[in-house]
Amino acid sequence: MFEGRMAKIAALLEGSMDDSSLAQRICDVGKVLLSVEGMSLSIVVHRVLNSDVGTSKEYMFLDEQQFTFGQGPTFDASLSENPVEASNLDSYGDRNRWPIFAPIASSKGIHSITAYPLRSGNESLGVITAYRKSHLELLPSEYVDGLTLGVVASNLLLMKLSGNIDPDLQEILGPTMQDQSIIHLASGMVAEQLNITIIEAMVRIRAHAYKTDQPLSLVSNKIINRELQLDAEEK
Amino acid sequence: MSAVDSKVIPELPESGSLARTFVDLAQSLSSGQDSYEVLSMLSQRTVEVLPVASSGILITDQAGVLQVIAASSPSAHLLDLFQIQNEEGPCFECCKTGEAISDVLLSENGAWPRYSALARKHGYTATYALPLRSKGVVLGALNLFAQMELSLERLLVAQTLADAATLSLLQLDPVMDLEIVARKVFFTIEERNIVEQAKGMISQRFEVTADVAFERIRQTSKQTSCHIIEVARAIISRDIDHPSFAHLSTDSL
Repeated sequence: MFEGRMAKIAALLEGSMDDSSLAQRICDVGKVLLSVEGMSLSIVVHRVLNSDVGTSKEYMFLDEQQFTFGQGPTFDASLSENPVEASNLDSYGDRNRWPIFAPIASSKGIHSITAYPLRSGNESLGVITAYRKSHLELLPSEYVDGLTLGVVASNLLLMKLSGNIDPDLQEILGPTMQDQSIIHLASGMVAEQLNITIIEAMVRIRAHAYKTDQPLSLVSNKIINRELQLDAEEK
Repeated sequence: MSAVDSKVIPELPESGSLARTFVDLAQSLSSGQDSYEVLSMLSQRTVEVLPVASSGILITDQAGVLQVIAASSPSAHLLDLFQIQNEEGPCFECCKTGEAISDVLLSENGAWPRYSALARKHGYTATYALPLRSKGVVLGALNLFAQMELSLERLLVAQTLADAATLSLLQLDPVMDLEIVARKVFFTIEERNIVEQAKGMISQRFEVTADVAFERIRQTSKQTSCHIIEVARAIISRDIDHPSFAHLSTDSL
């Protein structure tokens, strides 16, 4: 049912190859993929949401407004496991939910928003947000594309946190492939051993894979088979 | 004792547990239980109601990649993973085509020689894969690993169990809404990931294998009457107030 979605996103990212960062390209591709006016990426730094990139400054501004006032779909998505949809920011329901932010968005010509949480386990990495000038909701297939793009964006954020500042496209598409479950198993082991959070453990494992130039799945397997132990000091 | 009372009612040996399984399924589906919970229960029950040694459930994630969601034994998990990684085998084929696949030969000259050799090494002589399918759309497969051939009647039971798994993903929604199914699939895989993380933590804590760790989590879930996923969340967030905490902080079982 969902075959080919990742391939489609990969092809779009491939095609957008220019000097801009992968994060920027993810936003650019999202805009086309979801047929929306604007797309943004926010990331959690020290437990606080920060605007990172957007298809234009306008959308980064709207992200920032939400963090300033502590309300809005993007803000809510960072605390949620589910995507948050505002299908009509001029409606009573949306205005009631986000009394300060909804009028700000409307005044900028934005009338509906879908925000996808980027998560790993029970922790938030950030949010990607689709901004629309119409009241139209996303089509179901666009909604699913958004979820899939969120997986790519999460991978990118995990890579960056691991010290791989400039990963190539294959690396951020790669870990979504077959071996997902072993990466999570290994992360649990490292989290327990070093008494750190799951995301910190994922970052440690990715950093080790990056530094020693080994595939993530191989490093995960070594941890599971207890052939490799990451130590507390290694950074 | 009257004549009626002493009449022997003929029955299939497993019919009682089969009925129980469907009652439990109906209950978890109607109470809106998480798909992860339902699928994981289904894979366990399958080996109780059918003469198969192991079972596993695969679903295709929102990116189009197959994921193992539940397996009744370590070897079933391994055989499912092998098929995904090598893109060969009856279950992989079933997910690709949506057709039920059976292989009772597992021959080294067949369509998937490497898979067959591995399955035989683990003591299986037959593999069955039943599609999780609705309205021509394939969501995944229920896989059976057996040491004997199954009768046609039993295969029909297996397909009914697969249909129950499909229903849990459709949230009993007869109209297949792509968005609802995608959400469900997405969160089922997220839950699987959280359970894997919790397994990792417990396996490290007690220096046991991932499978022993999972068994421990399942036991805790039973003893505390909490869902597996709830126990797993409590483990990864180190929630000391959760009733499962005491069960999982000492080495005694």
